[in-house]
Amino acid sequence: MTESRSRFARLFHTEAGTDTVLLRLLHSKSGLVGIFILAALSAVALLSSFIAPYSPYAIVASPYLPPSQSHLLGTDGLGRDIFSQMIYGTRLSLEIGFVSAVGITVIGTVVGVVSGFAGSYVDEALMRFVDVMLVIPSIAFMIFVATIMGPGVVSVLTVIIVFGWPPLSRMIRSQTLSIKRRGFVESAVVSGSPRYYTLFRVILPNMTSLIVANAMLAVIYAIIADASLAFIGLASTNSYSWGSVLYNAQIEGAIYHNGMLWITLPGVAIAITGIAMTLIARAFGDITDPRFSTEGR
Amino acid sequence: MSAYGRFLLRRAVYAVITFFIALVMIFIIPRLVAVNPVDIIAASQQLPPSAIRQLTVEFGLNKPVYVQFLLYLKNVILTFPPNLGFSYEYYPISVWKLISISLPWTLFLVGTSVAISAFLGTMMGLYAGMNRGGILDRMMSYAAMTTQSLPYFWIAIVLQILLAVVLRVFPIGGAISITDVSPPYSLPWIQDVVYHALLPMITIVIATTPVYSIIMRNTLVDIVREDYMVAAEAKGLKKSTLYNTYGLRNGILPVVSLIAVHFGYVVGGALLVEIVFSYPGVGTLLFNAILSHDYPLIQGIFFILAITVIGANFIADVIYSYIDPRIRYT
Amino acid sequence: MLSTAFFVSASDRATASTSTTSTSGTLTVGIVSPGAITNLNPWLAGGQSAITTDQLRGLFYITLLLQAPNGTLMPQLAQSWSSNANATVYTFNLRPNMEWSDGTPLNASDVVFSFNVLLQNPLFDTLNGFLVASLIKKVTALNSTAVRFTLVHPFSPFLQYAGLGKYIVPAHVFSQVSNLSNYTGSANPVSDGPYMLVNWSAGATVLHYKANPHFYLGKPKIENIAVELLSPTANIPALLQTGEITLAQPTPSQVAGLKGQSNIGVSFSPGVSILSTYFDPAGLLMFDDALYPYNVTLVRQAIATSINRTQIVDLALNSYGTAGSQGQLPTSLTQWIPPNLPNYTFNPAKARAMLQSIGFKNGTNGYLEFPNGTAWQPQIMDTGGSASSVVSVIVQNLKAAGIDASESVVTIGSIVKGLQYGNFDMILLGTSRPPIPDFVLGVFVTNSVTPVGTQELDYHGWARWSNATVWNDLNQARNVSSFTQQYNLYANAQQIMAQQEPLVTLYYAQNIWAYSNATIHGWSKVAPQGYQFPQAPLLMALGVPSASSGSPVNTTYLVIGVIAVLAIIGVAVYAVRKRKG
Repeated sequence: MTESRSRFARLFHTEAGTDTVLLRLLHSKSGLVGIFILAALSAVALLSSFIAPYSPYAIVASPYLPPSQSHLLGTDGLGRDIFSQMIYGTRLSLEIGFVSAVGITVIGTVVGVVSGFAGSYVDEALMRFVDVMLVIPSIAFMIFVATIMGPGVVSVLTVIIVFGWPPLSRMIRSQTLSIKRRGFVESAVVSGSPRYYTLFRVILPNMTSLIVANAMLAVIYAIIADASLAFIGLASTNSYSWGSVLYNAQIEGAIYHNGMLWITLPGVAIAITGIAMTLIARAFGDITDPRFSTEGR
Repeated sequence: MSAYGRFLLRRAVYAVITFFIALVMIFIIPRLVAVNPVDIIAASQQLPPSAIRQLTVEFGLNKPVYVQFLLYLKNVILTFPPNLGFSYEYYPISVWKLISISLPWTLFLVGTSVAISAFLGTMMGLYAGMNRGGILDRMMSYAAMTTQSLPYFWIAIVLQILLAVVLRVFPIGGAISITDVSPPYSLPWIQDVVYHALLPMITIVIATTPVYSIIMRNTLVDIVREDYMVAAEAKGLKKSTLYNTYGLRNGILPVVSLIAVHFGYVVGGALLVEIVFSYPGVGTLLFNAILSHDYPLIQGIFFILAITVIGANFIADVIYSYIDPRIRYT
Repeated sequence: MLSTAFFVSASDRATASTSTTSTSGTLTVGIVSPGAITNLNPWLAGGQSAITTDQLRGLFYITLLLQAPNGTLMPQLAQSWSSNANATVYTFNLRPNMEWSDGTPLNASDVVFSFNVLLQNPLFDTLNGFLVASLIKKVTALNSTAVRFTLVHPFSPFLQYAGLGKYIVPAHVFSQVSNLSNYTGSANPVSDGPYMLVNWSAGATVLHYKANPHFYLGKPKIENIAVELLSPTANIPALLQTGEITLAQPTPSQVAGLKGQSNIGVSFSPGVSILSTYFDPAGLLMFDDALYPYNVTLVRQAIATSINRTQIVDLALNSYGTAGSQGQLPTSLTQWIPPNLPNYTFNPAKARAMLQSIGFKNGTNGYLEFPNGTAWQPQIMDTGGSASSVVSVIVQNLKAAGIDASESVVTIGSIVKGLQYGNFDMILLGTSRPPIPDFVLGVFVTNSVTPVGTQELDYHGWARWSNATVWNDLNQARNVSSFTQQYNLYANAQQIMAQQEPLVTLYYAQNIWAYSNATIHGWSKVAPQGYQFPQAPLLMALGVPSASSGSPVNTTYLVIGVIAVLAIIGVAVYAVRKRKG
């Protein structure tokens, strides 16, 4: 058994092994930039309580102060520090992004792999359901469900995950089918390895970079979805994400109080995160499929 | 029945099944929370208990759930125009009436923007694919990355502040100007409507063009490797002729399918853009319905959105199969 | 002229209008509405658009009487009124020779018709909570200008309920309508108000009005009014600054940003004008008075003591409001508020001591625990949005007093459910009530409390608080008609309510109007009481220079925009073609 495993592992590594992928990711220019930005954002998120000068909820100054040294982005209508809200917002936004991404990736991968691996009726049933989910206008339905469930982190996470996994499962399924058809999987099946062994030891590892790349994209999808829900007042208002900072800025007529920063910065933060995630995902994509690279390698 | 007919039939059956599942979801989800919507109206209008009971009967909320479901199916499927019930907020105006007022605005906005951005995106993608690694190629790549990483409505907010509030080039919102009394469909009216729609449209075009362009470009990159292209180029055909004929013809397919797959996303984004610009389409109607907890109206809007998007997908399937004969028999 | 004369006669405090320039421009008004107006049925309103709809309908359907913000009744269609000593017979005397906008005479038969509709359709009567159908035994026209109402039992607030809360509609139009419930309005409704609607269609987001030449005060000075319904997200400050609209209602936070901008004027008033009365928007902190520990009076008093109501007004309302009186009546009803009501001045230390005096203990985390040692973590429910600002301040206040409170943002459904079944700690409730003591004081008073866990449909029972004396006082006050008798009963009820504190009246919010100084002048100077839309523009003779009326389509920019789009397309096409060629 160990022998055949190493044979599969070797085969697998020549395709796109995890170690190699990571190494090459660090060598890819865009991947490196992406990872650097992500690391910086994560540091802000993890250290938010140290970085933020105030509690984001505490009334610390007069309302609507313009940006100053003590309040880098000014204060909101209750006299709370907007900079601190942005810092804490980084934490919640990334949390929502990554938790949803994990949820989406797990469900999407399981459904995709099971569908591709099992075939026949299971495949047909799952993919028809995915078809339905793909056609339903997701932002609109997220709004619908979140309205019914009421505002809050739980309902936001739920709707993001429920409407986020179907495209991934589609992709994973076709990748599973293509791997399944390759010789080494068939030989593993013929040689009598248990099905779950083939599944977990052969098929899944061969899709690592695809899964990781899509998980990165899922993060930004989730952050945008959260911001969209927050923007129409469906996110939790007693915890700050970038979306709820943006929502507050919009409803309080930010440009008349603190200039442009309050209303533009949350969007910029989301964009930066998104670009970082896309760069990382793209680096993975280039590694596995360099055809689409613009880097002209 | 021909193979093509069978293909269409199968797609139609899928569309119907999808639609039915969407219907079930629309019916079930609001009922998962055990709040009687009449209580909400009663609370906001300070109705006495007698009026609450009368409304409960009038809205059919005293019947068992399965009866409500059958009635709902009968009303939305077997009736035309679909009987989506009465809006709580605007009782006794029917939900259908409200939607039929706002849906044309959204379709106008989304349809025009998608047409513009699909055209622009295809052209840019074609150019970028021909000059892989060129300036436009790189620019489109970064533009796509950025717009894909941004919430739609944020672009709308920034454009609104810059172009409408600071520079005052465009109106801040709305679909027609408040003092416009010219009759509908007259020339000044059309001018007014176009003028008000420009900013929301620009937002959607900015957000979606790069996506179409990237798909076009990546398809081209694939097509270039096809044998017939290699052969044609070897025969000495000019590169531009090659791209504009074979490239465009084959590359347009994924763009068509993307328009379909993307339609739900564009509509969803447009809803939020409408809210920013107070555009009187379905998005603003939905937002207001959410604010006033008008559940029949919310349900009705999702019903219509589901029909629109599922219908658009089906039509795209048909067009796709018409352009590309290969898939007719799959 | 006529309008100012009327205004002076109606209220001694009004100063004469200074600007009487006759203008023929268009006043453009932005009104925030949760949606388009699709229904102008005078007896139906719904949810949150009720206020908007009534503001808009109020321009062409008016009521028998008007009310000043302080509650004083003023004549409108009726020029005088009287009642018998035991408050069972009321007579309204209409102005003579009034006409509908189509020239048909407006007389007592229209009034009788309007009320008979309510008697026949009890659901129509529920509009805005002024219930009269169950009170009226019969309504008769004594002659062409006098109408007599005979009631089934004494009811002293009847003048307000019937005079302010019910539109008088044209009998000659509505008697032709077969099903009044399905009536949604016509393109040009026949009007008894100052304006007529022009070519209205259901779903329009802009409503055009023109002056009604048959209005009983004469044709209004401002010839045209265009009302645009703004989305709640509309950028009102920008709309005012760019001149797209000249008059609108910004939120407190929006108006805070407009301070110091010389081209924008701001006027504010105590309430929102609905029908012909003012509804005072109030913020109430509801307790579940049947649930421990909120069933303990001292706990409610301690919570009231720990809340800084002035801070709420300053921060959440940007000072556009007043801190609430614990006798519940708004400051506009000063004449009804007895002196020395318990007021629970903000004092966190005292609040903590009050709670400790009944056994609450200091927990290890610095917050108070129940006497049995379990944690006390009350949740304050609200629906988010602007309510969140209020609750954020309350949470900070309560924490300072040692109460580990937190905010819970939920749907309106959850709030209604909580109130109906009585399972909540505290709820922030926004209400709007007319300045009528009977109405305000009676909102959350019941004579039998439904047990916690059992559904209470009637909102009167949602505080789950009852007090026999208050109940009797309020009922007694309906049977007497002299001010002194009523005052004594209401004063006693307020004393008990303020002492018992079944709920905390947090604030009374003001209604804010902002307008472009370039086009409107004279409002805030002429109207110290804050007469507002729809009355204000008519009564105040605002100056609206016709030059500034309307901002027509900017064709230049339109052309530039189209050229820009075409240019982009052209460049793209050219680039591709060039390759081909």
